[in-house]
Amino acid sequence: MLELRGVKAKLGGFQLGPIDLMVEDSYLVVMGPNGAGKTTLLKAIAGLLRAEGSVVLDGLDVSRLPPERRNVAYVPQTYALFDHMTVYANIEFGLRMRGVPREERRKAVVEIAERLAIKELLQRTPRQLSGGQRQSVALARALVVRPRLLLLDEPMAGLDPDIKEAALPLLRGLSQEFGIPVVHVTHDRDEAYSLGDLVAVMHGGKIVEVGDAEEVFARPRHAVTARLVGFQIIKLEGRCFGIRAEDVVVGSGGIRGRVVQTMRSAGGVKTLLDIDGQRIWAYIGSARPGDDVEIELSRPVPLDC
Amino acid sequence: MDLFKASVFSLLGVLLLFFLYPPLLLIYLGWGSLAAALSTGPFLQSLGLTVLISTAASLTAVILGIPAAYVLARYEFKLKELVDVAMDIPIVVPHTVVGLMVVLAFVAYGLGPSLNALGIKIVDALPGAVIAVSYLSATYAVRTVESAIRLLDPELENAARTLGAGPFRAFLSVVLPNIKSAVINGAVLSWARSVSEAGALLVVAYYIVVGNTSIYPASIYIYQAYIGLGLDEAVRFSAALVLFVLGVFLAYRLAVRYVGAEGS
Repeated sequence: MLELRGVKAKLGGFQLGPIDLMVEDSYLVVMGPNGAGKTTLLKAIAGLLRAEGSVVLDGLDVSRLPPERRNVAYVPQTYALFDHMTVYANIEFGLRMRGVPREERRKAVVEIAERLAIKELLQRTPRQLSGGQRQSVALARALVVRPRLLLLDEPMAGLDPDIKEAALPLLRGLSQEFGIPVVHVTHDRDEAYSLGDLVAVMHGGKIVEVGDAEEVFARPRHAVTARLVGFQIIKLEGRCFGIRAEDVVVGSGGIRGRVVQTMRSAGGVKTLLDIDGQRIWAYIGSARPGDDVEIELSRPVPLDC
Repeated sequence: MDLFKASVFSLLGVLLLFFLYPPLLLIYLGWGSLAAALSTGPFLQSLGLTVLISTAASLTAVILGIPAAYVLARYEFKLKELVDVAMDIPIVVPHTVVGLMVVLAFVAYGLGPSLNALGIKIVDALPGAVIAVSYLSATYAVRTVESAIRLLDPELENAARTLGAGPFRAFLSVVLPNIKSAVINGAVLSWARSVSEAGALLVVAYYIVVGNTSIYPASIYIYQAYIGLGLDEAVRFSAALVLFVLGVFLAYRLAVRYVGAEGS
């Protein structure tokens, strides 16, 4: 279990936190726009930058320990594989640092390589691997030391869509299979929805919302969250609402707007409407630019903004 | 070929001619008397002394330069700009002035009296020569290694740290193997810079007393030959020195290629 109590860090002009968060042995996805502090949060948890407050792992306060003694595995966006070593030596690295005897190391490396289906790659070097294989090797290297927590920084960022699809089940099973909490940073909403038991949303160095993934995606409370999970924001009578394009109903209701533009999309023809200077998308089959329309919002979500 | 390409290639040609014509002419003129130069005892002693001074300076530059380069590449701190500028001072100061500064700092003032009390001689001695050429060559090692560290993903160290390596272990296991080509490059540049040094040595170590013999560093030996015996004498020793340095450079290129091939 991971618990953060008032975690704060300063990086140049950027201020992280204070962050309070508790994650049982489940998969937490941290979302947020660029510069929200997602990676900084991971580094503060890993001990890679100086932070105030407490990082508690399985009841043990590790805040004052250096990264090498926290037993927190960290997989950066680049995967940071050691190109001058073979895949085997990469995976073995953490065990060697811990002084595990050679024969035990060999067994552990082979076992994790079999579990992640990369046994045939052990004698290659990272430069000879594809993006998906590199990700698997980075995960194997992180997990072989049996960490108390796994931190993943945008692990899908460099992957082709088909490899990404294949990697999702692997990541999804990690928390349960290894019995540890996973904190996964991304700004991809599909990835977050597919993987997260919990979703936390960061903005300006703070967590603005955290909750069950289904709940956060269906009923976001904060405008930042709403935007990230695919809602459009509209302000009516001084209050903010989140609305999806498919929930804008044309033909009745008291909201008047004008068609600005139409565009093809996978879900049909999308129409950009101007409503008192605010622009939202809707699905209106026959609209043309310049048409006046009357609309109704069928399932607006009230938001803090 | 378009006009731009033709222009830049022409200018490259001019620079190549400027770089290659003088040494090629020197080697051409000195070629016939190379054997005589390489069988001249005092010149060989000079060459040996120069190799010794340059190697010591190069080692000093690398040992002190790697940590300095790491700090400059990886940390932000107050007065960093000042430290950065200080690294370039040896390039800006005229070399004879560096020689004078070494005499001031290590003989007349500062550490001078203490070194003297310990019986460590600086002027016309090996320590003085090594200090002077180290001062002038360390910048090349610092800057070469610094560039390599800047290009290295800092997440490599972060990953190593979270996997259980302390900062020293992470540096030795992950950073150093990835910058070894740059370290060799920096060492060779420092070494070559040291071999060619004359100005500071004119002041600090015009000759070095070894036992009962006075040995000139190679650059000063050649200068002596030029002013004492004339151009022809200086040419044959110069050609021998240039061929020797080029040989070392060639060996270094091959070594770097080998290291690179091994690392890939």
